[in-house]
Amino acid sequence: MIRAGTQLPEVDPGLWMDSQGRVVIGQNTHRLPEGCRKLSEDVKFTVHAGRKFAHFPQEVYGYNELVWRVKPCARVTVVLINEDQVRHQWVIRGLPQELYPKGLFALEASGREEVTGTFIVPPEDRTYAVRSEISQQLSQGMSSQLIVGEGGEVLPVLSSSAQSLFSGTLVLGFVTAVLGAPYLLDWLGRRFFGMKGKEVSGYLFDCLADVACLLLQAVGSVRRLLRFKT
Amino acid sequence: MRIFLAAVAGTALLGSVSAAVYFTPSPEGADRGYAIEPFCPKERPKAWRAAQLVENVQIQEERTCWPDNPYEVAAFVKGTNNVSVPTLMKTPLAADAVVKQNDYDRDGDPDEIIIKLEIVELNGAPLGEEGVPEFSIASGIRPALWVFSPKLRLLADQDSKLTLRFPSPVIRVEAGDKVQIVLENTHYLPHAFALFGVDHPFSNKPNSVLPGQNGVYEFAPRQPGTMFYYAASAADVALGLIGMFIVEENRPNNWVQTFNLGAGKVRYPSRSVLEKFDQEYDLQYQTLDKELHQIVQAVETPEQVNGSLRKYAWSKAEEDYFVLNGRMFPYVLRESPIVVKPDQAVKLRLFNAHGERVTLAFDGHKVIVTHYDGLEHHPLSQIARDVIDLAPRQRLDLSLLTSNDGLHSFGPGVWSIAGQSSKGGMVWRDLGAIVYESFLGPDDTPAVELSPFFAPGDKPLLELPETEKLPLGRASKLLYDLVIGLFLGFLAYVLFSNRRRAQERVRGCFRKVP
Repeated sequence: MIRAGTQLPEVDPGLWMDSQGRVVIGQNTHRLPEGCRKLSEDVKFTVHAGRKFAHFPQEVYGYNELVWRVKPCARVTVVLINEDQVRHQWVIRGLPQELYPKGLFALEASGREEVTGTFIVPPEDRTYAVRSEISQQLSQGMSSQLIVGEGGEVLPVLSSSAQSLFSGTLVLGFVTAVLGAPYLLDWLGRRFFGMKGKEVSGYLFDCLADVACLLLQAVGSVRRLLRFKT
Repeated sequence: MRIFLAAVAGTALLGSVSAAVYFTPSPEGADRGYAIEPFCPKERPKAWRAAQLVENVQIQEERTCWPDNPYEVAAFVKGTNNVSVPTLMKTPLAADAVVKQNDYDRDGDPDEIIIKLEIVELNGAPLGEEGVPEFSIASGIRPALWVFSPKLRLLADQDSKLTLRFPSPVIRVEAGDKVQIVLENTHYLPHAFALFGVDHPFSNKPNSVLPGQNGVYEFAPRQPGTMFYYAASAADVALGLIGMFIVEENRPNNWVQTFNLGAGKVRYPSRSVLEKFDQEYDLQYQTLDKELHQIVQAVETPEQVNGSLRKYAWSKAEEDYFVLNGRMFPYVLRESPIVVKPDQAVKLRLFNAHGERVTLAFDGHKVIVTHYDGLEHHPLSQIARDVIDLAPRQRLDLSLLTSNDGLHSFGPGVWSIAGQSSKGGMVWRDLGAIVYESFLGPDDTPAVELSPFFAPGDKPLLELPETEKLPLGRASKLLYDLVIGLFLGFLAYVLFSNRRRAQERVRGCFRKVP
């Protein structure tokens, strides 16, 4: 049975768990990844996880930081402090499989628990996704990133809110409109107004500017009125 | 060049519109087109089916395609705190999922039971994306579901396809146990735990548990019987947060199987059940309204889910899917057939989690109703019947005898348990079956021609369906994003192409501002 702090070498040499629901997978304090001659630095992060660290209004869960940075070949000690009453995780995938079974380092702490684990990052500049793999927590904001050195490919998704704000469809629409606008204006101008595209664009700009100006004047009048009353 | 660019822009526009409308969330096996699924896929090791001794727990055999994991069963019987590490590691359970301790009455079994429950969303949004747990009630049919689940551990979530499932698990305790249920709300909306029919103290405090928080419910049930638990809101229940709660009679050295995942066969029946019966099955009937479940898949944020569920028109709800133990026919035959031998006594516990009455017709057998709503019927009133009625939320305990006497059983075979619609027609979508062992074919498949059960003219249910269209809500969201993107892009072009005049206009405008 699981007692306080059980090492499980028969299952996985880097696996540790206890009866309080604390789990460490991929613990590695001294074996250097291929390409590392020595440790570049010893870094210790304290990661707070919970509801109150949700970074966007529409999210439910989060970590206290969205990004952590370390040098290549750094030994990273992570202290995961769970400030909720349900379990939370801190999982990195994509590490070298010869050192980390399934290529991952992971921590889990039950509610109000704290767990510490250590691993050594590879020598390559790369950006790793860090997340909870409890599906609802991942979709509700519990994700961030660990940047090693200069980092690598920028992760497209930091959070669901960020994703929904700049979705691929929105960007596609934007690019399509920018590319297609001169042709559309030109066609509209010739077909309906007897003008060139640039003239239509200038006319639209004037309309927009007039509306903006009117709004500014209205705001100015209101401010003046309020000042006069006070 | 200009024409080429215009063509590229037009194609991109058309492509995005068609993607928005016809985007497919990759239904299970869609890449196989209309391939026929095997009746018994190799998802679960065959060795799990046999009777076996795990952690000194004698687990009964389960001759179905999808048997329960015997290591999980052993952990549920002994408690996750009392099994060896290798056994626990063969399950996805947390070390504190079921804690059993303190034999207060010194009768050989633990009397303090701590059960940790989490709430899991199955088939949620975005459906088909990595990390979203999926559960098919039938081929290609994956409505969004919320279920209670035993507490799992790190990374087990990924390998827990068989544990994270619908319906919410059956929970068993012994009468007199001090039970503590800890609801750890891992979901994104508040939920509450409530008991029905189970002896528990009254509470006038709101018991809603916020996301990230836990709620502790303590009680010591004195009266044995088949009851149920649920989350205290209509939407929660309709989405799956309801399950059977069984209080077993107190006996010495009576270790009970605390969870029966997915209901069905109880592979370690209690001592009191084994005094009278050879086997025990839990059968939970339920219906789902497609539109309600699409709400959860169609919107993205917790506020949107909550808002849409509040606006849901309950009076217009229609039952689209009929499930027995979380599966429609014929999936139900993969894991919930009642497999019997001649001259056996089998205890069936039925629970109607529907909002409407269920009528079940037992072919080839007459069963005896022994308990209503957990209470034993007077022995003189325990009559044999072959059509059973269950009101909404009602529980019935049945005694199924397989002695071939022309009354209780008409002999070996594959006999159906069919739901009947209110108009009398057979609702075969939640069809169950009593299968005699001699009628089990290779791979423990019921040796019977299944094709008559497929509706004439319909596609067989084991055939994969046409690719599903994206729920309207998400298609609208993509179209909305596209329109906003087009507008912003157009605006950006107009402003950029007139940037030289902008400065002059801004100055002129500010001069006019009072």
